[in-house]
This record gives sequence, C-alpha cells and structure tokens, in this order.
Amino acid sequence: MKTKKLILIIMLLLFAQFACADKITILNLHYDRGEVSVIDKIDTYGYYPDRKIQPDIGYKAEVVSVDDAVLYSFKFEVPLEHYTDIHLDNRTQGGLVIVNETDFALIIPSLPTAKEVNFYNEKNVKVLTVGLIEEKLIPTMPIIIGLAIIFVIIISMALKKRKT
Amino acid sequence: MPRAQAARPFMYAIATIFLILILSFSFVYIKDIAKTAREREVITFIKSVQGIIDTQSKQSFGSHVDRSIAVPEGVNSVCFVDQSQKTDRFVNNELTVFLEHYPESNFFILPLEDFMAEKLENFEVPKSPLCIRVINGKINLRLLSQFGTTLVGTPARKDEIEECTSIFYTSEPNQGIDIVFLGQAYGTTEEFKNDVYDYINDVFFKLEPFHSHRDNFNFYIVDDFQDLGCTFEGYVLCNSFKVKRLASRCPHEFIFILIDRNKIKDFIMPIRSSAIANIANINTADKPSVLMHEFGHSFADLADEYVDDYYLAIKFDGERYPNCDNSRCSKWSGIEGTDCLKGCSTDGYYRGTKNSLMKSLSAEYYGPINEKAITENLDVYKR
Repeated sequence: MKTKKLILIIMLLLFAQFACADKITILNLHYDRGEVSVIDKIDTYGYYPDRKIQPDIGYKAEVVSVDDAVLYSFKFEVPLEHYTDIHLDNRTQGGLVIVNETDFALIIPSLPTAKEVNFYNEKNVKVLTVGLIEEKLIPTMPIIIGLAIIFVIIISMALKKRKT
Repeated sequence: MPRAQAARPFMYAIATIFLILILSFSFVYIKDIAKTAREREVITFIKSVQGIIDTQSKQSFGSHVDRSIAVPEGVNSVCFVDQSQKTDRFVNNELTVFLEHYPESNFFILPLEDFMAEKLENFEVPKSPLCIRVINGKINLRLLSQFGTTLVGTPARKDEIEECTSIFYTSEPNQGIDIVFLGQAYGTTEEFKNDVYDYINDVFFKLEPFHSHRDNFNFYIVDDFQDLGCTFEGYVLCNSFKVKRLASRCPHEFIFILIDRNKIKDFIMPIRSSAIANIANINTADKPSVLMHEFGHSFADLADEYVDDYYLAIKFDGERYPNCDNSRCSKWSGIEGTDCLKGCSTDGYYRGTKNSLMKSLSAEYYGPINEKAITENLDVYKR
C-alpha cells in the first residue's frame, strides 16, 4: 500500500513537472546529404513536444549528463519530405517534394546536469555532438589569467637561470 | 653577470604580479559597485511602483491615472500576480517556472535570473498574472482606485504580454494532444482568432475521428505575428527555427501556421499549403479542408490518394503508407466498406475508397482506412 502511494506521488510529481513550462533549448540544425551540423542554439523558457509518437526508424537524439548517463532520448525524422497540396481547377493536386538539404529545428528540455546532446543516424552512427554546458565568464577569470602569466614568467626565469 | 642585472627579471615579475593583482581586484571591485548600483536602482523602481499604487489607492473611488515608469536596464517585463486566485500559467513561461519558488511574492521583475520577486501591498489585478512589457525603457500602467486599493492595468492591449493563449482546453498538456496556431500576414488579432475558431469548430471537430475524440485535444494560439521567414516558391515553407521558437511558448505536438492570403491574389498566383514533419503551413485562401488533409500527413503519415504527375519525378514507396498498397490491398482486407482501386499518389499503387479527404479536398470524410490509422495514433493519447 505504501509503495503504491509512493508511486502515485512520484507520478504526480512527474506529471506536474511535465505539465508546466520549463527551461528548454532550441537547436537550429542543418542537414546536407547525411551530414548534420549546428547553426544556432538558444536557451529559453517554454515547452517541448511530449514525443509520444516517434518513428520506428529514424535519427536519434540523446541528451547526455556529465557522467555520461542518458537523460533524455527520442527518435525523429529529418524533415526531407514536404507534402504540398492545393485545390485548383476543381481537383486536388500537388505532390511530395523530397529535398536532400534542409534546415530544421528541435526543442529539447534544458536539464541541469546535461553535458551534451548526441545525434545518431538511422544506422546508429554518431553524426553530431552539441555541447549544452553554458560557458559563463566567471568574475575570477582575470585572477586565473594573472596567475597563469605569473606561472609562465617564473618557469621561464627558472629555465634562464638554469641555462646561465 | 652583475648582481643588479640578475635581479632585474625578478623585479619585472614582481611588478607584473602587482599589476595583475591590482587589475583583478579592480575588475571585481568595479563589478561589485555596478551590481550594488543596479540593486539600488531596482529597489528604487520597486519603491516607486509601490508609491504610485499607494497614492492612487487614496484617491476617490473610480478615478484613474495613466503612469509611465522607467525600469532598470536589462528588465524586459514585470508581472503583477494575485497568488490567491488561479493564475494563467500560459501567460509568461519564465514566470510559471519560478512562481512556485516565490509563494509570498506578487511582483516579479523579469528576467528573474537577473532580477527579483517582491511583495507589494494595496493592489489588485483584473487577471493573474498581469505581465507588462517594457517599451523604450518604461512600463505603462493604468491605475484605478478602488476601496482602499488600486486596480493595476495597462492603457493599451499592446502593453500586456500574453505569450500563449489557451483557446480550447480539455486535458493537461502531458496527457492531451496539443496544437498551437501561429499566424502570418494577419492585419489584426481578431481576424486571426476568428479564423482559428472557424478551423477548430467548423473543420477540425466536424470530422471523424476527431469529432469523437474532442477530449483529447488542446488548442492554443500565439498572438504574435512576428516574421517566420516564410517563402512562397510554389508552396509555403517557413523557417523551422523561427517557427519552433515561437511555438515553444505553448504546449505543442503539432503546429498549424495560418497564412492569411487574399483570395484574388491567390487566384492570380496560387500557392500550395504544405505539411513538413509536425508543421502544417496553411494557405487560408484554399479550401478550409486543406488543414485536415495536411494534418492527415503529419499526424498519421497518410499519403496523397490523388494521382499527380509530380510523383513520377520522385522515388515514391507507397508500401510505406497505411493508405496505399499493392494490387492485393491486403492492408485493409478486414475493414468494412473498402475496395481496391487503382491510384494512390501514383498509378502503381492502390487505395481503399473511391473518395476521401486524402484524395480530394472536396470530400467530407477521411474514410475507414485513414480513420483507422488516425485512431491508432489517437489511442496513444487515450486516458
């Protein structure tokens, strides 16, 4: 009974978390004949799709933590198929436009311990890694740079002394 | 080597160390001063907001005043919240994320990562939260005196922020199918909203199996017609990054972009609607049912059942789709009311019904095969 209650609480907590807006990362990607590259990346607050329906075969994205655990994963199709339709001259016409190069975007949750997101193609070959750790300029940076310069000077002086 | 000369590098090193230390400490010190100055500026701002609220609350009942207040640099919006009433969680996503961490606060300065939440007295809001955008470094407030309190509002609708508006809500976003409408080329919000309501009520829910699965759907709109980088070379294609950025303001599994096109202009230069992954780009000048046709592609991976020469130019694999088959038509052998008719995107494949929405935009039904494929995906969301 206690276990059941605990599961219910955990489920409620999970639902509560997913039902609300969250910190997210939007990746702007470029696909060109099997090659995937990143164009842009932004962090914001909002929603990512629940991805309950995923393709059986497709690309895979894996958000990985600093200790290499998979935190979030999903399959997706690179949008190379564009269905185009119109009702013209009393009939429906159009067709499927297949492109081999396209820009596309994916929204993923911005998880606190996430290190990077890895992309794998249909053959499970890694095609791209995008770093997710924010590069923040810490205020002590000048001190670190200063210490590094001092260290270099001391080393060079020591070497010079040894030479003489 | 003379002793003085040998000591020179050492002196240089000492001088360098001092210089670097002075620079480092100056940097940290100046940053601290700037931070303190900003904090002071924020406190002054909060005090002036409280001041004008208090002043107005003492005025005679019903009198109002419009005030513009300068905000500290970096502030993009402020939100007034009444935590005692139900807050609309779609108004401002950043606020929604932080709100539960500040149960005692009712005034939020955004971005919250850089600024703060505060508790103000003597005010009421017509809706919670009331988020006001910063325009030219100022916020515009309309203050209406009540019995000892002040009702805070804005002089114009454009001053308010509503990142996402829920217009048809049946279930929690994680349980239902969330669809967000974005608009392009619309003159007014009213026109956009009217079109959205027409598509939902007169098109979407008129059709089975969606009619009998109303409780599975949530619809939202983003009332911000920012440029989505759409191109019109034969068909509508919008910039995916811009689209996703805007759509992320609302819960969404699918995105409908309504392109408001003049019917005469469209008659002269017709543009095709399109479905690209979970995005349907809809030319509003075309038949309204085009929305359902495109959603058929996006939601259930349905193929076109009409035959077009367009398909001859590409390598089309009809076997991949639930509504096209080879001449045996075994995919829908057990489904009542089906046939095996030549023509499904190309003449090399067969379809199961004479007419359907995937064959013609004039049809008023998907047909049993397409309905089955759609229902299978709807069942994923069954509660």
